[in-house]
Amino acid sequence: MQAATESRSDGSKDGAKGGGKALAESSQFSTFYVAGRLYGIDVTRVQEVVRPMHITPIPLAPEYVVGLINLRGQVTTAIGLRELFGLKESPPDTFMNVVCRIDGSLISLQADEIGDVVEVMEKDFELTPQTVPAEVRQFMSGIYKVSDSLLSIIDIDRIGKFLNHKL
Amino acid sequence: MANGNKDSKEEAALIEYLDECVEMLERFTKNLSLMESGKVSPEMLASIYREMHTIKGNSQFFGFSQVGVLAHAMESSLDPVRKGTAPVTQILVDGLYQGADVISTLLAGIRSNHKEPDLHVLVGELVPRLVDLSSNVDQDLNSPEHQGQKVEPSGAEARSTTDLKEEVSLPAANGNCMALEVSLPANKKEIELGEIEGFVLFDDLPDPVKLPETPQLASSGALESESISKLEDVSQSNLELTSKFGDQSPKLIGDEVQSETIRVQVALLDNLMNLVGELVLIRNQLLQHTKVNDSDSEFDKMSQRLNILTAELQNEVMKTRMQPVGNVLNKFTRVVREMGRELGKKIELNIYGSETELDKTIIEAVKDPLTHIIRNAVDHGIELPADRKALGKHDTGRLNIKAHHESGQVIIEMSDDGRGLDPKAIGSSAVHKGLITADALAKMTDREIQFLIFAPGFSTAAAVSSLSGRGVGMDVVKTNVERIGGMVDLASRPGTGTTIKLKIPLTLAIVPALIVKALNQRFAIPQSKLVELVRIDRSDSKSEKIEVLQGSPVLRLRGKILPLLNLSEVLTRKIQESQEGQEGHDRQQNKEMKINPFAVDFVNIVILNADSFQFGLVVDAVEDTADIVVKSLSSFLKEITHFSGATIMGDGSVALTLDVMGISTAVRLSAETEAAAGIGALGGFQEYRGRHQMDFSEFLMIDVGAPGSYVIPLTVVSRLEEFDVEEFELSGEQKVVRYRNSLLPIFSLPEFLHLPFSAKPAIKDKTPVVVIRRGDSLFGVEVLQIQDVAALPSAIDQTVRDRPGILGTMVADDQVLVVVDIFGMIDAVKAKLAVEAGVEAKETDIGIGASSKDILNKRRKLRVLIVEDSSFFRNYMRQILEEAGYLTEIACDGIEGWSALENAEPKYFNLVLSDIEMPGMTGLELARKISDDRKYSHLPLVAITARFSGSDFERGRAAGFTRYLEKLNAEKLITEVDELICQVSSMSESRKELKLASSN
Repeated sequence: MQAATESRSDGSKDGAKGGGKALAESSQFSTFYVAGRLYGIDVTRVQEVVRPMHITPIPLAPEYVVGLINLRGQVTTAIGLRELFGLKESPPDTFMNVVCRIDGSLISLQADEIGDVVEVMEKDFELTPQTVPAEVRQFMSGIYKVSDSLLSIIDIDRIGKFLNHKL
Repeated sequence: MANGNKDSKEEAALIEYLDECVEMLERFTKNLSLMESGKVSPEMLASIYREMHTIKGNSQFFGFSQVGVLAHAMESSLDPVRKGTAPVTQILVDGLYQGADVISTLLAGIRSNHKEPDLHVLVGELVPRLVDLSSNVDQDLNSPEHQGQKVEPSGAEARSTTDLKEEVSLPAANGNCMALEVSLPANKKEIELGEIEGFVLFDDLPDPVKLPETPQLASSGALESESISKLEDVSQSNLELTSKFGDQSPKLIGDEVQSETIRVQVALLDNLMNLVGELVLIRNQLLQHTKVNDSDSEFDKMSQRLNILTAELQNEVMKTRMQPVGNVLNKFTRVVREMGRELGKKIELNIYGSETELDKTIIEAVKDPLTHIIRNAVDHGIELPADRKALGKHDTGRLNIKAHHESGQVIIEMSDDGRGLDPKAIGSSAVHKGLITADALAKMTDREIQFLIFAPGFSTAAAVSSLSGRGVGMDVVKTNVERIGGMVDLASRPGTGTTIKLKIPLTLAIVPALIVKALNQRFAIPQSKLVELVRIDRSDSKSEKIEVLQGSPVLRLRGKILPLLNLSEVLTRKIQESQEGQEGHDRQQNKEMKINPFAVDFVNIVILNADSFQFGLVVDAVEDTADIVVKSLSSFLKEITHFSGATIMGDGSVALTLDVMGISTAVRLSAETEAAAGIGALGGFQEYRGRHQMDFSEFLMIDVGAPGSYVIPLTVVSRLEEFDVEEFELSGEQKVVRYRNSLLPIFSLPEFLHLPFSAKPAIKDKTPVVVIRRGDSLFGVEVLQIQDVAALPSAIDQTVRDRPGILGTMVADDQVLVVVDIFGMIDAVKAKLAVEAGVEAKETDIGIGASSKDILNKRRKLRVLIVEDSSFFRNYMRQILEEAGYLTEIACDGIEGWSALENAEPKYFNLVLSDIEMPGMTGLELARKISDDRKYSHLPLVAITARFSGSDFERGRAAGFTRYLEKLNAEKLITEVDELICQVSSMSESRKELKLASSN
């Protein structure tokens, strides 16, 4: 397909399984940036990461539902993380798609930029500080201290719950 | 040929049943093992429970009583655990495992020889144990007697085996050898054919805990030799099969079954489908490419070939998933018959449209819901023949299932003519069960209350029967149907019947659609909803015009008024919070829609058909038609009812498909419960569309001080009065006038209708008031000016009735007239007055008037058939009569009226009210027909007509009408009907009589 995919998850899956099981205290996260902040999603939950694609907006949908994407014949719902997290900083022109499957439906999370797959140690885990704004905190399961910054972990099931309950 | 077809259909249904049961059993045991290991979750318990419920239901359909009885017992034993009143015990789990084993043995037997093998011994031993578990939850731990007798935790298995051993000499021969094999391999040798006779007897034993040999054997003489030989065959074949059973070979099914078909995972077909979808897209792109670069003719040829092949492939893949819905529906014939027999009810089942094709997954998904609905209808809906007779119904209950395609959806409609849903019983039961509060109940409409049957944990049945009524049923119906994006609709009239309508999307079907543009975006509209396209040239004065009616634009198209919506506007309007919509605050929602700015010269209007009415949708552009594959949206987008799904266009972009019904409901265009009116002896929904009679009635034209012309039917007007401004007083907030020794409440139309005033009415000395009589009460309508009385064709278009208080519109001399629903308004005002005064409003009700309960009770037993083609008058009369207590049924022309009579018992109806001018069969013809038939000699016929002269009267009398009544005269109607069939000469006299009677 024209929209070439960077199948990160495929490459890293083996590592996740092998490493994760054996060591137990390390896990891997697929990272991305939204408004300059670093977020991570459990790498096993990410189906793929896709370049910016044409989005069909959905009238009447909440602000954070950006629209629909044709992902190789599958209709995927694009969710704007900026809108979801309440981040107002100037958005880029195009977004990367972090595609996950939540509750059986394909969801593309719109990120500004894609980072690496990061392996983190359990000992570096911290609970989400209370100072993190509630909008974001409700989706976070915690943070990891990585070499040069902090990685906020997003629990996509909480996003799924939010989407279904809120709407 | 037809016969063979039927057989193979039944055969297919049976195989399907077996496959399904096996699947469910697998899931069941898997969950059971989880449960045993302590991982108990409410969802899991619910799923286990439902699984058993379904197995039970299906088995009873097919008449496999042992499976049914056992599943019922297992279900019962799970009930306390599910409700959280009992813990999961080892005894329970053991019992359930055993039950599952027995069921699978039974199923295997059914599969090999289409007959339930006799395992009554095992079943009979297990059932009481399981039932005990459910009923003795509280005591079973501290009642050693029970444990000792019935449940020995560890020894249960051993016990059943010993029991069996004792009896094995008897049952061994009865074609259930493989069952015995499984549990008692050591006894194989004892299987003999000689003792067959003993066996058939067990078939109907209700509770064979013990098996005393003698009495059964004694009656064995009754056995027919034919069945003995059959049994012999059966057991022989079973003997051959036993060895195969032993090693669990999957080939048990028998050679004849496995040849033609293979079972494929539906997920595989889904993938195939998606891949084909992608292929189609690539094909489209390729074709586009070849069009541009057409120099290479070889390449061109190849791409054409690819094109054709792709289309064929797509078609075939699509077909792999389609099945006629009859596969499921035909099962019900048997189910209904057997259930009817068991319950002693006479039921006639009619299935229409069983050839309607539906996607396999969808068929699977609706199977259970349909089953539950049918069972409920038979069990709870249809009355016993004696009860039906007492009610004047035909003693055979009717159950209709209709399936058809409608605008990209499959509609399955099940209607019965049973007792209907009683809102009172449902309401109190729901409150009792804590599903809703009494306060909430008080605010609910009957229809909303009826919908409570879909609430989880609801069941009105006082006793749990094996057939239905444990409160899982309707809950499952709703969740299952909604899971596949469908809808459940319900319409029920207590006493006359219930109709449940499932609207199921054809998610995978290719839908021809029209592509339109709005908001710079493309949208697809299913062709089936499309009526026509209208393009209005604003510079051309001869073209159709858009007019504004009470702030809403309408299109007058060939004399018909169509409401207009602008797609761009509809799609930008915020979704209205409808949570508090219950109270009917909807009217406040001012839906002033403007089609402006009409900067453009042309307006494109797509005329759409939404169930029972049409409306126009203004779009920015009409693009093209295309075949689309509708894909469902994420579940959290389902709330936006405007869209039914999304589709991928030829160029790879995504377009949303519009849900025409969804849009019309979202903007509250549709008349609310059109459907609810259509149920009656005629069965099911009936739609009366565009069949208006062209007769004339007189209307009072009034100026209410708001734009537009308003009319009131003259027959409801009692007097026209004028009052001085000083005469108006306020009683509380209600404006009143002293009038004939009493207070006349005055209300104003614009206020009631929330109409914007075009100009503040000038203060005048005199205000004209239209006095309306309703029953014994008078009401005044304050108007600005009384204009005229005009005879107008009473063809009332009910499409545009966007707020309470409006009956519809009429077109006369190119003028749009709004017909005011005076009675509706009075009802509202009366309710308000009653609240204010704290008095019961009932006293003033029409007809009920001062009449006592006796009259009311009398009326409640009398049934009037209303034959009238104009839906407005039909509903009007129905309302009047029902308010007075009469039972009514409706027919919309003479032919229907006649068939309603013919289909009922001769004494079912007590009176026929008929219009004269009707299409098809006129009232006169109907009257002649009725009076020619001796069995209707008791039946008074009353003609209702707008105008009549002496000669009309004579002709009517000759045809058999006893009386002539004027349309819309409510009071007269009740009095006459009372006089004719209630043996009450007139209201006032009846009152005297009653007074006398009560003083005596």
